[in-house]
Amino acid sequence: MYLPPQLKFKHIAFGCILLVFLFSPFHNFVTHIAVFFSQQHIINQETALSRIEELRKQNIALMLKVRQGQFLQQENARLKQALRLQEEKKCTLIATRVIMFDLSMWRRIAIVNCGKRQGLREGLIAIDARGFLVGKIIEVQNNYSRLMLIDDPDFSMPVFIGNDTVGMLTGGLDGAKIMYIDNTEHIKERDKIWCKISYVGFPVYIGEVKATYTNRNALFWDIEVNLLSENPLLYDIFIIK
Amino acid sequence: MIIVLIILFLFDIIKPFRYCLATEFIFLGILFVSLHYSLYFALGAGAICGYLKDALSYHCAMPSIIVFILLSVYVKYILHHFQRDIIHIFIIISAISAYAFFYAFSQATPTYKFMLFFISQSTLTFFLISRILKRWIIPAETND
Repeated sequence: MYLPPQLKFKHIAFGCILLVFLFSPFHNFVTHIAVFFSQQHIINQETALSRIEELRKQNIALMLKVRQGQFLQQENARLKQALRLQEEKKCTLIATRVIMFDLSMWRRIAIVNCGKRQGLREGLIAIDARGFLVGKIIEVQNNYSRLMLIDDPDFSMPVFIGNDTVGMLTGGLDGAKIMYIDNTEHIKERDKIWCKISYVGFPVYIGEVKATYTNRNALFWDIEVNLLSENPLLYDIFIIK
Repeated sequence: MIIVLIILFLFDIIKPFRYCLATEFIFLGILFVSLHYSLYFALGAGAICGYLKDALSYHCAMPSIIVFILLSVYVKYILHHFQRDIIHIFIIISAISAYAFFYAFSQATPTYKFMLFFISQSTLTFFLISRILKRWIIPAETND
């Protein structure tokens, strides 16, 4: 069996010195190669990082475009719905948008971008795309109008619950209520609330009964209303002309 | 500070928090000005902001110009007679509460729940605005 001769320490040392002498002329060359590859690596890393950042920005921009597209799609659907409503009910709707709010938090009044020039006048009512009541016009200027929303404390309107029970809808910052309905009337939760407008030939729905309260001594029901209109501050509003 | 008041005014007009946050930013701005600036500046700011608020609002129970001027005078009066730090908190809470009580009870049907929301949310918002302004705006003004 062949066994390699045992290497002595002096041989190992000699070999190492020989290696150092052999490669010492190439020392700078090896260093240059190492630096070149490390720079390449760093440059690549920086390029990759900047590319990632660029892609991230592109991603955000695309996501915004998608959201914008979705919003436009929804808006388009709502406008189509309003057009269908206009054709079904044979009425004229004017699309408006909230441009400003009343500065006081104690009022629920919005300013919309249509006025006398668009044919608006005081007392017209505003609905959302699905036909639910949003509020009524209380002041008209040439290019803008003030719209009182249902939950304004000064809002009031005669309404019907169910088929023929009549009451008075009043707004309020704590929520709309219906007053002056005799507590002998049979009112139950989720009954539809609607109103008849003199110049409109169809019932305009407002919401449904949320809760009813009464006590032994009271003459009338206290009725809380669940309003069904979309948030008028986010979507288009339609004034029935 | 005038720019801050304009921004607060715009916040009330565009209502970025819609009706979720029950507070009036310009009212809080005037309260802050009354607490930290001179009486004349507070009165001037209150009168101008109150006038603009009245001009852009629908009929209110009481003109804002009067409310803001009274607020400035009330704050300065209390600060003149009491010098302790704790009095600031008393002034803030009392002014917001008085404002909320007045408007809540001036309505046909008082709105208790909204009044409580208004007091709590306005107080918290005031402390937040106050912290931001004390950290960035007032030091910047004193450096200039």
